[in-house]
Amino acid sequence: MAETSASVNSSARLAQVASILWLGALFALFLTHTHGDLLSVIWLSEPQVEFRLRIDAFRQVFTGLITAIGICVFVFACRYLNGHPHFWRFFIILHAFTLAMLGVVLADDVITLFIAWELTSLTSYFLIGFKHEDAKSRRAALQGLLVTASGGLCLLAGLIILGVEADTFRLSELVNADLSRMSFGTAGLVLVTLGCVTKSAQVPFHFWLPNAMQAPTPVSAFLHSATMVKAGVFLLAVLMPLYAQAPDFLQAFAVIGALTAAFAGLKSVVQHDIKQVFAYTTLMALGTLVALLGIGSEKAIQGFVMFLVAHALYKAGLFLGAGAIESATGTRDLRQLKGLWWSHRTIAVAVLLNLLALAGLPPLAAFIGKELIYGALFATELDALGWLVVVLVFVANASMVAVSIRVGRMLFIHNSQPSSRVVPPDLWIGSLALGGASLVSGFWALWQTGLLLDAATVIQAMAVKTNYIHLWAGINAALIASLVTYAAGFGVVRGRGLIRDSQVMLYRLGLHADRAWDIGLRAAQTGFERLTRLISDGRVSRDFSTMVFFTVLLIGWIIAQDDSINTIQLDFVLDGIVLMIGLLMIGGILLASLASSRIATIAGLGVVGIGTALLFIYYGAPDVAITQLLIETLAVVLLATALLHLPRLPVRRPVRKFHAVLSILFGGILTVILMRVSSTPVDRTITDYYETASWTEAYGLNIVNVILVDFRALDTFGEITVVMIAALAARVLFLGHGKATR
Amino acid sequence: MKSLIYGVGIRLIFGLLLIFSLVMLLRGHNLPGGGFIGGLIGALAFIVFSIGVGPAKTRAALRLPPFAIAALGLSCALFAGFLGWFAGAELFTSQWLFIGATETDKGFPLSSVLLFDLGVYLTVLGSVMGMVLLLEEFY
Amino acid sequence: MEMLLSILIGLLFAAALYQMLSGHFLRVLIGLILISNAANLAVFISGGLHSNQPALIPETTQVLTGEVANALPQALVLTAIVIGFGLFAFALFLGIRAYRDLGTLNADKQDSLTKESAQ
Repeated sequence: MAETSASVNSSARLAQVASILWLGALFALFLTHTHGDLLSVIWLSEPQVEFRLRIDAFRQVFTGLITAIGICVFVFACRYLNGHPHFWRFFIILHAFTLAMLGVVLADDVITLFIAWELTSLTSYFLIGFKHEDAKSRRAALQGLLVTASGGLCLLAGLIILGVEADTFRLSELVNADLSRMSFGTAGLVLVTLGCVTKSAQVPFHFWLPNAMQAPTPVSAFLHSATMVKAGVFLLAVLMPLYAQAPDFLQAFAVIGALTAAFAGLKSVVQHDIKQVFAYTTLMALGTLVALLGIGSEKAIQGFVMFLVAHALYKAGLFLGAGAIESATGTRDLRQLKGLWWSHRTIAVAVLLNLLALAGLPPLAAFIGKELIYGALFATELDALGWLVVVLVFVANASMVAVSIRVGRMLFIHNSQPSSRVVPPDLWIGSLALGGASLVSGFWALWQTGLLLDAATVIQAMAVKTNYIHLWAGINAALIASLVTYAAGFGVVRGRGLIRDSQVMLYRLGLHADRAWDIGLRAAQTGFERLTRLISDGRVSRDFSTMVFFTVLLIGWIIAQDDSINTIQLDFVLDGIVLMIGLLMIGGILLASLASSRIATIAGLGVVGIGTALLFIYYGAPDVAITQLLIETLAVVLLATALLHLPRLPVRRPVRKFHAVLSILFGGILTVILMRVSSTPVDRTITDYYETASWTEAYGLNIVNVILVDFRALDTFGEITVVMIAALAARVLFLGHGKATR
Repeated sequence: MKSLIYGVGIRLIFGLLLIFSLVMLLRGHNLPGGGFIGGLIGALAFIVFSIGVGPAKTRAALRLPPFAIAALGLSCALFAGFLGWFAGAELFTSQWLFIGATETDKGFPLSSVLLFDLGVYLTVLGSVMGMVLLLEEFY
Repeated sequence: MEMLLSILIGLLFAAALYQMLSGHFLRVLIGLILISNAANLAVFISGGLHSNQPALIPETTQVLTGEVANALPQALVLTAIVIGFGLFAFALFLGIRAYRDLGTLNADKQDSLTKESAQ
């Protein structure tokens, strides 16, 4: 619970002012920026991956909403969490989220988009789990992360497929690609769609969103109603030109969206926690938006833009209002909200304004949006599926009216013990501002029709032919449907008991997504545990040999498949000196492997090392040979010093046949690979360049050294850094953890 | 280790090895040698020294803590890399200064490459000595 | 000569792996030294063994005359040797530390001891 009575401390005030200025600046920047590229930095050239941001009318609407709502949310949040021990943690993560969300909206490169997308999932995880001492918060956070991040991985796969097929990773070019020319275009679109519907919590991935209400209220207002959950809807809208080429997808959107909307609507009327109520109405709105995209007509797209704006405003306002109510009454239970109209007039007004929008009353933008939904539905030829969508949308809208009535009525019920807590203005000003914005939004839409139509143009990728954004379109089917919806809203309020009973019955039947999630998660855990136990008995040495076994199997299989094994040229050239060095080394190997005395083992290793050095010298590598000899000496010094204080080697057990076979196979495979490599002619391009440039460009006669300190100096720098890190790590290992002697 | 001959001998070998390591470092650009080899020989010199007189005196002989030497070396190498950048080229592009150059003679060459190799020398020397001394002092 | 050297390197790899599989820390360390030698040699011979002449430009001519050994793998191997040493030293310190804390160098025993103390 937030501290409300104490005065604001200066850091919270500072955070508030800084957020207003920063987001205000962004708001101004985005709304005034000319359409086109904002920024472009190339990451990779082939295939071209860029950090690329782009702005157009649709993105302007979105970024405007994010920054404007962001200001209201930050003003609220800084006061809500005033004096919280983790205030700054919260503040920074919420700002990080804001940036990531702007990244999602502005990204014009699919990889940039994906990274920003996953960053929103990640910051959402931290914010849902902000009250991390609470097991429910942790569960909700993990659930949200698993659902949205695995959706994000599908998205990445899908975007890469589409990008490779369309030969561009630029979103603005990708959307105009020809789907029929792609061989895996549909698979790519399915994956992208999966990413979007998980993010936007469509049935059957809806369950994480109501649970996410464990987050602090400003997070619910910002992430889980106005912005992050819209990311999926946003991407679907951006990709509309692609989806338009595959009508099956659109039909699926219409049905899934309408199902989500109706299901969530019916859920929302029986909840008692106001945050849960609003969570389900958010789901309803997301479903409606997806359904509108599914209808896909010009009217539907304009309805989509209209409803998007309207919903973002009133839903953030409602959540902020819920936070204010919580501070005023100390509860979020709907049944305890009585009499707020008399005790906290401003809060009640703020909530009422937002509720008007929720119910979709004229002359608000939400009303225009709803009219367009009905209008778009009635404008098409309705088949059976179409009628189903109409009915589902009708149920959803009626539920919204019912929720408005239910919450609104509570405010006016007389309360014998009114709460007398003072709620500081920071906590209700955001809600009031958003409510006010909702109130005038209808007129604003008429005034700024140009921007909204431009946004619709972006989505449908062709110029808008007819403007459907009107407050009064005459008496038509849509208006009648709206009036019926208002009436039905009262009916839903009356029939709430029936709705609850049917939901309880479904729950008893086991049809409950959240429970299915638990069961699935547990099954996955036990399944993987069993799988692990099957291949590992928990002993390190056994695990290691299993690993080697499969490596040998895999590489051996690849070599056996590969025809290039036939290209190996056997050479039986014998060089007396090398032969002698080789024999010497074999002796060293045997000594090092078989001796049970430690000194003999070290001697064997020394022989192998010196043999290696001799080979280097013989084949014209004096620098390498010297280094090898010096390292050999150092290694022996270190090993000898250390061995004085380590136990003896254990008595050698009889030869382990499995290990011996594995080792011989491993060695054999590497021999084959090396023979294959040395049968191919060496590409000397780089060597030739170094040989000519060594003196002319780098003024050095020792080519090896010139490569090290000049041509590849950056590599060498990395390598000496590694050497130093190894030494530092050894020091930490040695001196750390209290048991050290100095 | 009280033997006079041993003590004197060790010091002699130490000095010779140290000079040798510097020679290897400086000639590295044109003949076998360089920072890695020089640094390793330098480390061997100090190891021989430490076997003779013990780790405490070796630390004193090093003047700086070994990890400080390594860090210094790393900074040298990084600075040498940035010299190219300061001069307006890509990072780690070598820069040369030929002092007293004439038509026929290149003069005395001074380069960022030498500084880089010195950095390698110091890093290797410092890291190896850091580990060796740690081990010797522990027991 | 490449074929015989390949066989020699294969032998080195096999011996190294056999040591590492034993699960005793000292043997793992021995295997580590052997395997880094083997890997360095493998990179080295991959660059071709065409010449026995070091890759040095004669000071008198200032131009390479005749074929010299491939300098590129040499440079790679040189740093690999030093890094391999760093790895070896780190592993050695790790082993000493583990022995000091756990009193055994047997990987399986170390593992079960750590698991016990973690519980």
